Amino acid sequence: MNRKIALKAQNLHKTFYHPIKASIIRGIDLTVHQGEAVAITGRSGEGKSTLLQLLGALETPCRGVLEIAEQPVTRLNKSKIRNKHIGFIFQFFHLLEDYTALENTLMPACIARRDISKGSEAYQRGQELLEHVGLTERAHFNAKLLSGGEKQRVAIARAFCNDPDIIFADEPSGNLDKETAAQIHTLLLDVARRGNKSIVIVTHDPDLAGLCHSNYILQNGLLI
Amino acid sequence: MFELSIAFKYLAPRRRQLSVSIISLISILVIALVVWLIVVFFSVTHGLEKSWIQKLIALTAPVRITPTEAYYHSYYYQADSVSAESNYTLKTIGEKLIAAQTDPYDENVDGEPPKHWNAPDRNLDGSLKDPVKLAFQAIGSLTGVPGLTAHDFEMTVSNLRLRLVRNHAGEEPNQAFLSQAAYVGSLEPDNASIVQALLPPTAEDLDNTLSMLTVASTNIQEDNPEDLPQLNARLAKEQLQRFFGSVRVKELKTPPQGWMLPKRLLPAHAQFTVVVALKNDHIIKLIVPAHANEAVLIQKNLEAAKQKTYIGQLEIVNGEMKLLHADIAESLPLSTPLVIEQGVSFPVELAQASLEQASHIRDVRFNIIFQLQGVALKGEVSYGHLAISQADVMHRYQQSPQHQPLWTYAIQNGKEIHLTIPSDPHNGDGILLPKSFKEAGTLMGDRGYLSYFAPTISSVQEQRLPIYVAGFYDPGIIPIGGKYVLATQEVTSLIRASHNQEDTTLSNGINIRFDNLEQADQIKAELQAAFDKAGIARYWRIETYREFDFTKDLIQQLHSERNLWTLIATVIIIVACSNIISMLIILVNDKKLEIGILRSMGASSTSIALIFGLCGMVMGMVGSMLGMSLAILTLHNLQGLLDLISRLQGHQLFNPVFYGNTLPSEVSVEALIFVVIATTIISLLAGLIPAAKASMLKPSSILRSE
Repeated sequence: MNRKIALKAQNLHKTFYHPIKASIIRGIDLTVHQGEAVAITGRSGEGKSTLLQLLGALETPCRGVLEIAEQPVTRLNKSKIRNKHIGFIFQFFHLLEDYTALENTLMPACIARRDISKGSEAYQRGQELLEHVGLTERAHFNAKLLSGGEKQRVAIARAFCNDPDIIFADEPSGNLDKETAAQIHTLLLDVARRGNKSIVIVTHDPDLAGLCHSNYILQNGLLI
Repeated sequence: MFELSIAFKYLAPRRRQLSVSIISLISILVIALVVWLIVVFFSVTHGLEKSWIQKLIALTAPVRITPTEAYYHSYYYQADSVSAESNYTLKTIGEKLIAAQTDPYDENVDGEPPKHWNAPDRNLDGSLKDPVKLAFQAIGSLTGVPGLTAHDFEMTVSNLRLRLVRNHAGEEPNQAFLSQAAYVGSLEPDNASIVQALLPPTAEDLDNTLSMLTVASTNIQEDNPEDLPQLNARLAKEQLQRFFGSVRVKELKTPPQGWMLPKRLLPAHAQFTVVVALKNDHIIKLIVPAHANEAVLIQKNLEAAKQKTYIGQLEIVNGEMKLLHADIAESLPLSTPLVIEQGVSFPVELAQASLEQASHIRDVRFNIIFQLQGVALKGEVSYGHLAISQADVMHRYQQSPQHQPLWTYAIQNGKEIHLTIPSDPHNGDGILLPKSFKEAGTLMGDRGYLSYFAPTISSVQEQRLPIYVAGFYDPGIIPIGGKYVLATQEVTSLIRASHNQEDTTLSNGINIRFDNLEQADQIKAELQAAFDKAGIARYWRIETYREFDFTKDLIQQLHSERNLWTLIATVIIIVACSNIISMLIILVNDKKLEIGILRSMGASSTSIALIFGLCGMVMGMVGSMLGMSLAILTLHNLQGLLDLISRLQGHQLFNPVFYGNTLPSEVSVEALIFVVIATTIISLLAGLIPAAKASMLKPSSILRSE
């Protein structure tokens, strides 16, 4: 089977020089195919989040090559790639508090300068996504008023808004109780599967890791 | 534009961001205040400057062409002095313009011109070049200049001497002489700004004109005060008819020393409250107040002057006068004078029949209908000792008047205006004086002469040209304004002819007027090009009002003041907008996380910078809009505001001598444009610093630090 490659990282290195020199990532190679779910676990402070930011083009590697959706990531196309091909889900949800759930969901479309007026294609997609995550009634609630689980569901919907190729989730359930966490896990993987999206999850949760196709452990700056 | 939507979200006041809201509110208010101040200040100064410049060039013109030395030394100019055709006299520009021949010299008749003259400047076909006619042709060919007119002007100096004859009835006749060196300029009949600046004749002017009207000018030029002979009956009658042909007297008033009431005006039966004035216990006069309750006041005034008085009742029964006082009735002889106190005015109408007969002002009679203490007085009175207090004076006409007024008048026909300074065979030539003369006591109708010195073969003779004051005008703020007498071109030509014409550059030239001052430089450039093409450029110097000797300094000063104020205004705006910087830096710190989230969703750093730049610009614009609306509101109610401040501080805020009676309150479009552009640019720049800070934040470090 010749599947499309969603992410290809070769020999990624990241070293911080402040406050002291610390080589966090020391040559990582990773390939994620379309529709594949990958879990990365590891102890706290190993640099899982840094790795995720490197893979998600939020951080610039010191050395190495990153390709997303078969395009090499450069300084100039980073923003565009993040917008078009990548979705992020954070531990602390990171919604824009002044906007409603639907507006938050549509923000990536908005940044892509697509029409998000009522009845537009993007608007419909936003509502569909909220329906997938079961928040249709909450669509016009201000983000401030939602519970943690609801916020994370909005964040999931937002991550899928621009129909990206790959989703990065950083401890998506780290801030939720067990039951809600389980719901979120199922939902996340379900939505990803439905869209045939690749997903890279950084987590401490063995349950979540167990649900993924492949598991890696980050240790001493290398993936095992 | 999600940037705009986010910028607006950030600016909308919210309780959570109280500090940001307060700071942004303050910065908007400060900008509004500054904008308000600048727009009001600039609008007012702009208006003042405009009116000053208008006044400044009312006497001159926006563009003026004067002959150069080359012109005066040219064969074209000098040829007249040796030609019989021109009566061996040099010609002014005006005369040159209407001269039949460009070259009046005829070698068969005239003597040979001196050898040192410059060679004639000829056209290709050998004919003499005519700089004057070519110049007027060039001016006439200008297009796209609304209101364009060109006139030759003449200006000269002379000594003005006025004989101020003041004959107040009851006082000794009084004569004073006023002597002043003056510039005499020719009046351009179609100069609309002079029409604007004309002061209409006042009641005193009319009185004085009337009293001087029938004075013959036979010895008016003498320097010693002597009795002035009157015109003969026939001439006096003509003069009176001319005067009353252009004035309708509506009210007369009693003179300062009171007015003897003619008894024939009294009805057969009447009663008055009177103040009885005594001398050695004899009744010398009865003073009738206009209203009965004023008697006490009159008595008080008289007693202050050590006059014995008492208040009584005058009863007239069948023409007999009886005085009632302290229950005693006393018959009075009919000759007892009845006096009406000073300054009482009553409506009158000219008795037309008396004018037909009149050969002296004394003979002009008026019908009066007047209520004196409720008693109707009716009948004819002679102008005699009364003074005019109200009259309709004709000085603007639609067509040529039937009776030419004695004062300067304008005939307006649609947009065209024609100003005339009348002259009079008996009074002399009319002149228009600047209003400073009026303030010094000169009145319309005053007579005098302009003296100038004309060289003859053996001596220098003083010549005297009889003149009379035919009006006053406001010369504005031109430095020589107080000495600038306007007269007809005949008068100026006559005086100027006796002077050496090259004396001053201002003595002769062409004034070019047009509606829009801004076109001055363009017109100058076009004329220069046209003159170059016609080959007459070296004969003429073209100047705009910014370059005139008299006005240059003032206009340059106004200009540099404006630059200075613009600079100050810019600095104030910068200070006001710098508030935006601190507000936005707080905002950026507040919104760090959101910046990170937006970046993670693919917003570029430019977008982030744009959000905060827009925040700054929106604040600047809101502030300036607010300030502008306030400024427009203020300017609409400017007069009321000024009155209020004046009342509060107890004296006039702006001296009307310098600023005119009303401050200009038109909103200056230039100021608005300046403020809008300046605040927008400066607030955008102010927003750029925090915006740069925001765009340089790394999303990875923001998101990791959570």
